[in-house]
Amino acid sequence: MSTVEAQRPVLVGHGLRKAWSLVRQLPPTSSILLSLVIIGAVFAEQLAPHHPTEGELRMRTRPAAWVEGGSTTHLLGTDDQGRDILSRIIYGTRISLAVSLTAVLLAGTIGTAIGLIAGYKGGFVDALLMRLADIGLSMPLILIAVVVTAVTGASFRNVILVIGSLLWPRFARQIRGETLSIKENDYIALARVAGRSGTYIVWRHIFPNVVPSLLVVSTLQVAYVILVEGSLSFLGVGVPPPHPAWGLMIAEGRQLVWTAPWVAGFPGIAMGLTLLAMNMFGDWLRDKLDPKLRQV
Amino acid sequence: MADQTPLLEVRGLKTYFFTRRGTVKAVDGVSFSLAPGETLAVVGESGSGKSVTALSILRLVPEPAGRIVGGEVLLDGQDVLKLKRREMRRVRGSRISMVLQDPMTSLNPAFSVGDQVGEVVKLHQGVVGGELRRRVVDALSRLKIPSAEHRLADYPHQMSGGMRQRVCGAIALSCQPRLLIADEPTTSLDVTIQAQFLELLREIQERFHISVVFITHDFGIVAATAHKVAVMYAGKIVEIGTTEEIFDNPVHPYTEALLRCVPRSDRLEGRLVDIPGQPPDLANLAPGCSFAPRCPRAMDRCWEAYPPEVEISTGHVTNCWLAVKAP
Amino acid sequence: MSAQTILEGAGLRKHFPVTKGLVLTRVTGWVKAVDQVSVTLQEGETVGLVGESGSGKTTLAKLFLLLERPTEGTLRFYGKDLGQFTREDFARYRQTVQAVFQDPWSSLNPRMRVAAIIAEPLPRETPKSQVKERLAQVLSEVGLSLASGDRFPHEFSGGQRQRIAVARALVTYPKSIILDEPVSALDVSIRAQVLNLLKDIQHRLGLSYFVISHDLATMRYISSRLNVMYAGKIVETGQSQEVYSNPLHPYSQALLSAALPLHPSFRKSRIVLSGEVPSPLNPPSGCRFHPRCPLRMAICSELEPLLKEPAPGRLVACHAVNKPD
Repeated sequence: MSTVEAQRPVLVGHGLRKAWSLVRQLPPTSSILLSLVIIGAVFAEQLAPHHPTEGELRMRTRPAAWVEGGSTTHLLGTDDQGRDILSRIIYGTRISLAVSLTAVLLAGTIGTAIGLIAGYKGGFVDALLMRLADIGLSMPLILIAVVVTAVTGASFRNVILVIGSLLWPRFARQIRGETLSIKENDYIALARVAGRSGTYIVWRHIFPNVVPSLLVVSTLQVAYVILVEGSLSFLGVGVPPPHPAWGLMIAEGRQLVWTAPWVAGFPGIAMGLTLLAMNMFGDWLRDKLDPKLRQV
Repeated sequence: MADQTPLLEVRGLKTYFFTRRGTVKAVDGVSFSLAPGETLAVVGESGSGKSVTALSILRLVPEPAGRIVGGEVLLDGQDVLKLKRREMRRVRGSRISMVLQDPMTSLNPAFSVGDQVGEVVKLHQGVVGGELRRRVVDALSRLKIPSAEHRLADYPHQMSGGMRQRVCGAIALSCQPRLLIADEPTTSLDVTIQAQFLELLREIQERFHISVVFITHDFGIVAATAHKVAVMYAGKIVEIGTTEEIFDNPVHPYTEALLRCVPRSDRLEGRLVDIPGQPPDLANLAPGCSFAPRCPRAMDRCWEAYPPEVEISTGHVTNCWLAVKAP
Repeated sequence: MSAQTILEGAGLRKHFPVTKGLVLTRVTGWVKAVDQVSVTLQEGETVGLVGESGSGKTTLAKLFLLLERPTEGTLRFYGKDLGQFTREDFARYRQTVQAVFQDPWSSLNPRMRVAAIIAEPLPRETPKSQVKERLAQVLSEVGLSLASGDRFPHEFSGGQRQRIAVARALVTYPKSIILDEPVSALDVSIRAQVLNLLKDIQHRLGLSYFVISHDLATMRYISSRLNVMYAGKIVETGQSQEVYSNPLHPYSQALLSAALPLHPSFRKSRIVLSGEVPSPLNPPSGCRFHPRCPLRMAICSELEPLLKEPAPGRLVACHAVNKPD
């Protein structure tokens, strides 16, 4: 048995210990909540007790299990079409995450690229790109989303595209600022002295140092997009029915808010908790990474 | 001057920082005294504890991580460590004052120079209006800032580094403190500007009989300005004495090494003698003398116990086993 | 045997425009950072450039490192004019002229391993085995262990980081290194370590150094020839030890006098200059030093003095020193 093989269990043990120490540092409340959301999205089929879009009309508008008239088969009650609310909420996590992660990925990629270029090049290119970003920032997101989807129709693709294309300026501004301050470091000048091209410098030197800040912005933007998607779905121009998007569920429960408040209430709580958890996590991430950023 | 009560007496000062890594003993039993009008230079490298000593005297140690855990700081016989917070605030700026290294961050860029000097004067002297203005102009003129009356509305960024440092000096000296603590005040200044500033400081000190604790790493400044020198290493004073004594007759190997590793501008040097190794980790100090790992003359004893104080001559004291005569 | 001239700057000027307006920009003034400077660097020697802030010394370093292009003047590399450089010439320049900067914390990318940082100047086609071998060689030259390569910059102290910077500067077998305040940010005892290291390497590898500093003592220890710079111009130049023992230009005299002596008994009266270092945006007319000069004459505010040779090997730009015959 070679020393490499003998070392393997030690290395694995070491790796596990490192992973556990990282996990221990995570903020407890938000991590648990977010884990629930992610688990719900991934294992929706296994976890949801009922089908999300097919309802039993004879079981419609039943309240939550702990209220008189409710039953344990529908823990959070049913809506006016007999669909189980708990199952819809669980499937709803999938929608919220899918839309927000995709939109943030899209906006983040575009925005980071633009921010890096603007920050590194400076001068006219920087001015031009930042004016474009200003225009993007000054657009009323929801209004435009309403107009666009009213024209092209509500669909997953449209929601993601609309949100993504109006979100990139936030990334661009942040990344540009980071780039400007990273550019001041001597190792950038030394890379030029070593004969390296601008592309290399941006990719190999600036981008890796921008990643921590990018992670923080992304986390906070995911929360924002969940809210935006919820608003759009609520207005009917987001995710189309019968998908169990939380915003849509709230809209559908609007008329019943006096008679069956749980129909809009539970999805509202779900959305609120998710947003809270994401924001808390984003804040924690920023605090964790920020002082280290200052250190270097 | 031997019968005069010392203006400042620090006895066994201990300031520790409580961190996740362990307890950092930044200042570990520092004692010295200072007569009125005297200048004490505190020399050391980074991690020696010289800046924390200064902050401790003013009770500005960042809390909750840092805390003064022991010792006394007697100003005119009164222990400032025992004062209530409100009383200490009255001491800061009026009886003890401080000038820091970087004038750019010492001054608030959002306020004019006149406002910043005026703030201190108003707080401690309670004057307003025309009288306040007059005293502010006085404070600035004392630091030889030309046309002080016309500079009151200037902002820090409109001034050069040397001028900004003079404004900091004006703020520190505006209420005629008895003690001035200067923490590397000229490190960020140009050589010729540094010469101006030190000259100015000397004049003011003589005129107003102010004592100065001058923290520096530059032996040139020590030679030019100080009456007494305290050499610090790893949170302790390893040697203290008059400037002449320390330069002519250094006893502690660290003092010797510091004096020999500095190149000179007034003559061509043979090879500089460098000190191998790194300063120690203040959270994990080994027993014995902290300099032992880097000391060219370390003996077995040096690793076992911290050396006692030995008096070389009047006022010249060191902590070193080499100086302890065999019984 | 005469050593080859690696770098020769003649009549170098670097003026930065000051502009107003965003889209329709208008030039309202010029920052004359470097104004008519001629400096040479030969193989094996250490040329020092001493000056205070605003003297233009850092800008001159940037010109030599091709980080900026001169507004006017010529820069020759082994006799070839920068204006005639081919791509191969640029590549060869980069291999031959390396740099070490002042700040050991911002000189190293915190997200790159030391091995990658040191190997960066090597040509991309270099085979991995050669890279490893060269890495081992330079690490040993600067006194760092081979294992250092796997670590990240934050695991090292200031002095060690500066050693990493030096190792990186050596990796392409350069002929000359431009050092901008190489030890100013280090502790006193570490400075001596790094200065000694630089001297040893120079001797072993036959390097030439172009050292820029405001610290006169460091300069005296390390340089063989010295240039004194003030407000974008060279005011005095000569063999280092001669300039130090007998400075001729009044600014050099004040500068050396302001450098603090190393013994309390030397508290003689020093030449203390009044006034400020001039702004490069609006330098004084004639000789830029005249407002602060103790030897000021009428002509000094009208006519800029040229560098003349009042003694063999010494160049000084001063009307008072070079009395017109």
